[in-house]
Amino acid sequence: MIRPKPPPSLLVSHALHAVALLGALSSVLASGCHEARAEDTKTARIASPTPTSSARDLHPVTIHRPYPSLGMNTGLRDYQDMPSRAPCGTCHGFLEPKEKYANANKLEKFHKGVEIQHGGQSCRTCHALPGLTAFNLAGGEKVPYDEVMRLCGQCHAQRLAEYQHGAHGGMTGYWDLSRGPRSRNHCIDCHNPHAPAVPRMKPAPAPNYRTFD
Amino acid sequence: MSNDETSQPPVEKPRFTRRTALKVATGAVGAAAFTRAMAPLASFAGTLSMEELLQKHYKQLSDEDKQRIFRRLEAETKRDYGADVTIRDPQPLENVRYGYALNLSTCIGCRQCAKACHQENNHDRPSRNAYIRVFEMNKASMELANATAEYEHPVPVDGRRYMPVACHHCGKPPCVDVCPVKATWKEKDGIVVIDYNWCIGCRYCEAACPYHARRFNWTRPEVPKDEINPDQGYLSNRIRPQSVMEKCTFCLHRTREGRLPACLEACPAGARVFGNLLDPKSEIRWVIENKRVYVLKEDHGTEPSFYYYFSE
Repeated sequence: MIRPKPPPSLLVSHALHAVALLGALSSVLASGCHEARAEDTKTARIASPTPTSSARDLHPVTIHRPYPSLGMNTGLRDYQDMPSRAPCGTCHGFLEPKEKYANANKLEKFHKGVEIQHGGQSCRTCHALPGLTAFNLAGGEKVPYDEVMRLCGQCHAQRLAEYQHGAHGGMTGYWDLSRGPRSRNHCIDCHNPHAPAVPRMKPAPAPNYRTFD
Repeated sequence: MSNDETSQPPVEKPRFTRRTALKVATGAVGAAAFTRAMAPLASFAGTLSMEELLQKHYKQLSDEDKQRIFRRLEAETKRDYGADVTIRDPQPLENVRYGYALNLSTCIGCRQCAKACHQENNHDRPSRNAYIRVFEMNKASMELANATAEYEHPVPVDGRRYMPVACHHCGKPPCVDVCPVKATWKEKDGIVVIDYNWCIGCRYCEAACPYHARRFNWTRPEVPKDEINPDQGYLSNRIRPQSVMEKCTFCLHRTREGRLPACLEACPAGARVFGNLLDPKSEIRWVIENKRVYVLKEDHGTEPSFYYYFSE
């Protein structure tokens, strides 16, 4: 199918998209492989303060690093035919938001479609300026994107404690870390931080053998 | 005396008497009747080799016996299903006793665990069989009698709770007690297993299990060649013959190598916790020591290794 030529109004979106791509590319280039691994182990320490065994040569527990889920809709589609979004930091890396404590649901002009259903909070309850890519803890400390679990844990402390002890959150790999590594989900792999209620899903089909009557 | 005997003329015995004829005739009729009577057995045991018929109980097999049997089973899978599989027999790990916990507060009833079980354990495709059955019940009363496992609507539904039930690998398994041929037993790491080649399919164990965790292979399992999981264990997920029992084995072909069970890896809610009950620093021990935990049908005295807990 041939995609129709975008109307002129979407040219802005095109520009946004290009900037977003450039931004993503540069961030990938900036964080080399080695650095990324160091970050992983840092998050792993957050995730599991008590090692599962006293043995020294344990395999690592790594936490999946998800991509930001919210952003401006560019009106374009990516190579997987999914809606392409530009992360907020694309513009707000150098542009101050006009209203400092605005609720995103009330943004009407340019930001239509950016919705937050998470306790009626404003962007800056969690996100730090500039760039909206770092986070504010309640005490004023700024935490980078990779440590966002500390931010979630401020309100959801019980979930964080469970997560740290392996009792919350999906994982794959090895239960026995002396035999192999484990990979764990991040909070926002399952919970959209901007609308954290779990959406309903269609279950896998029921068995058709005889069960209890 | 001797002279008298020798003097008598020798009696020439007839070579073929009426008695002999009767013997031969009845023998022939008997053999024919026996063959006729056994004919259904011949067709029933069409693919049953003499080697399989004479195979000993798992615990009596030497390592050479096992290797020979595994190669035979692999060849049979190739012949019957067209798939190249590897059948192994991982042994229990030292100082390990498995435990499983499930968070009833976060389970959303999506049945992804049952789907993963279905695929991992080479279950019969038409029956959509799996060792896990997910019950939907009232959130407050949690009344199993009013629960259903056959819901198809989108989940989770408000006011409903979802409880996946599989084998609880009991400390005192009633299914093992009732087996008349000792085809099922509890291994030292706590996993209750079945020797599928020793099972006679009487289904006593299915009746004895209070969790309805055991399944009977009413038909020869149908699995498409491409969907067969080639990583198979003799006591776990190899394709079961018709007319034998089967059950959850905590994916022992995975867990005895340190890997997590398939149902846990598939759970999108992260509601499942698996680990070693003997390791005081394991996740499963933390759950048991710190959360509100209970076992299903505790009053039966089965001492399950499967725990349900809440995080709300």
